[in-house]
Amino acid sequence: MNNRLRILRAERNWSQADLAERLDVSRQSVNAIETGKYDPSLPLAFKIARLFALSIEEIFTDDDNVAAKAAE
Amino acid sequence: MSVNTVEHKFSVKRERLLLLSKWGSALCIAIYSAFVVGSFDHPWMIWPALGFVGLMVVFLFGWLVFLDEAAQQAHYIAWYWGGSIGLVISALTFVALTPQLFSPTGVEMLRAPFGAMNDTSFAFTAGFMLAVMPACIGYMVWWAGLWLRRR
Repeated sequence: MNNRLRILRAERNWSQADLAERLDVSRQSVNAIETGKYDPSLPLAFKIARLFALSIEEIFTDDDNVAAKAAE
Repeated sequence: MSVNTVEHKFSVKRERLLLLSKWGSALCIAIYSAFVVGSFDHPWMIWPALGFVGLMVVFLFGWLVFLDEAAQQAHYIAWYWGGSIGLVISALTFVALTPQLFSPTGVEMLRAPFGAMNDTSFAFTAGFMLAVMPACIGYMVWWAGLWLRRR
């Protein structure tokens, strides 16, 4: 699963700790999500989407979707 | 569910409770161990030791409740892989110690560190450790790997 979390966070000048606090998770969790080592649960994905006022699909992209779009 | 100040405060509170739970558990284990060692000479010491086990359970429960979802998932994975590999090691060790297969030497080697302990206590302690320790070590090693990778 790919995501734009690092970019969205950088646009707002938030540190990982800032984002972690806003999402009520640990900084390690934010790092794990950003680096693709952990895929968040659906409730957390919705929370992230609400925080950035975007849809989940605008933040997270699954690998199959990327491959399908590339093939088009 | 909005991201508001109340949640920010909860986040700080959660971090503090997690720290308290971790250090509280560690302290309980240390005090428990000291009482158990003391109980070999003073049997009454086993009662306060049990009290600290109870307190440790309370701290550990708090720790489990306040972990965030990524941390919880790391523990699930660590138990699944590390714990399972540990159980396989337990089973293989048990087979390797079977006297009918390799003479009694394996069991005798295992008996040595338990010195003065009587046979029943030795059998219980060694059996428990053989069943639980490899799984716990496997879990801890796997979890440490995940933790270092996610930092």
